[in-house]
Amino acid sequence: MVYNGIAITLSWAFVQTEDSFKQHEAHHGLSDKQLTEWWLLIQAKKKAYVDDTIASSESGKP
Amino acid sequence: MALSLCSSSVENLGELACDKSRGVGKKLFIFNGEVAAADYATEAALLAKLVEYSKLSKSAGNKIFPVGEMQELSDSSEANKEGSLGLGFKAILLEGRPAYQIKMFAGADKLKRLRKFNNQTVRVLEFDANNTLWGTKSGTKFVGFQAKLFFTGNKLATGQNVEEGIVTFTLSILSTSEYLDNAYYAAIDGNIEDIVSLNDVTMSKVSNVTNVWEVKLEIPGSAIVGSYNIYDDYAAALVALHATSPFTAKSGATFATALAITSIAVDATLKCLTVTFDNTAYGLLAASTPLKLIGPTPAQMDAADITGIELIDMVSVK
Repeated sequence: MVYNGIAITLSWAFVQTEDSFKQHEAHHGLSDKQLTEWWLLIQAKKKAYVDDTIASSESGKP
Repeated sequence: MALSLCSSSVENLGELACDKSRGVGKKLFIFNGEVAAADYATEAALLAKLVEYSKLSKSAGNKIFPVGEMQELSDSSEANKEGSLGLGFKAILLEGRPAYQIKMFAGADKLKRLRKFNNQTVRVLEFDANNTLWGTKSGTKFVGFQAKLFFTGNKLATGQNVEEGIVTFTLSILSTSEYLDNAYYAAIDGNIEDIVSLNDVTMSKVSNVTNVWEVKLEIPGSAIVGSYNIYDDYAAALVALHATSPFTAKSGATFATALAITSIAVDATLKCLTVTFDNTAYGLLAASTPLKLIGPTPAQMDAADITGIELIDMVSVK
């Protein structure tokens, strides 16, 4: 996922807290508002990923 | 009735219409790999497989390297060894091995790369002007002919002929039985130009602030002022690709431990990629711990329209 020209590694971001994420990626020069927006976009991706995983496990697909 | 043992050692001498023979040489491919029978079941399948192999990493066993377009070709085969009786009867005792002198166009950088193959024993596939690809078989696998290559060039042009940018190479075939008695062909119907050459792109650490590294991506070349930076061409696309085919990193003397990369970004000022490692894992590494940065494969990049390059793993230390 790319935000403002920065590609985050989702597998890493999914297991972070909002604070640890913002602190870790603060060096890119984004404002706190942008970091929050980025974090929320990642959470939306995470929700979609979790929903997909549940759906495929319920349908018996790998 | 003639008495003969020929029935067990020869074949009938019929010939099908349109029997193939080698045409004028057009292209040469260094190919030390093999194509399985299932992959040459049709000409289209064979071409698709060779195209796929051309986009492999150079370290892959099945990698195919296109050498270049032949511009001029002369036969410099070894003479047959003849023997004679005292009264003049002559017969060929040993067949000479085929060899060719071939001219092609290539610049100084490519010549340096070609010369890395000098006097190496390799296998080659030939492609002729009749769109026919020639090789041999090992068991059921389609493979190249064993050969040695030697490239020369980049001398001063004399101004008398077309000499600038001409590379001359010798192709010396090692086995006449492979080359003549066991040659196999495929009539290629598609575009042979889809078999492509890649450029090595080296990644190097320019600077770092703890776990945040600035990594430059360059095609090494002969220009003394510096290598070709691919930032303007592909940096943004590589960042986008990280989302689906991520860069990875490993640490330790044998690079056995994965080190998480948390993000990749472009640095327009330094014309680099900004690679951020997980600061907790990075902080636990001792000073001078070796790190290896591994990029997406050429095939992954090709699928994302980042064509013609292979990222060479970067090894540096914390």
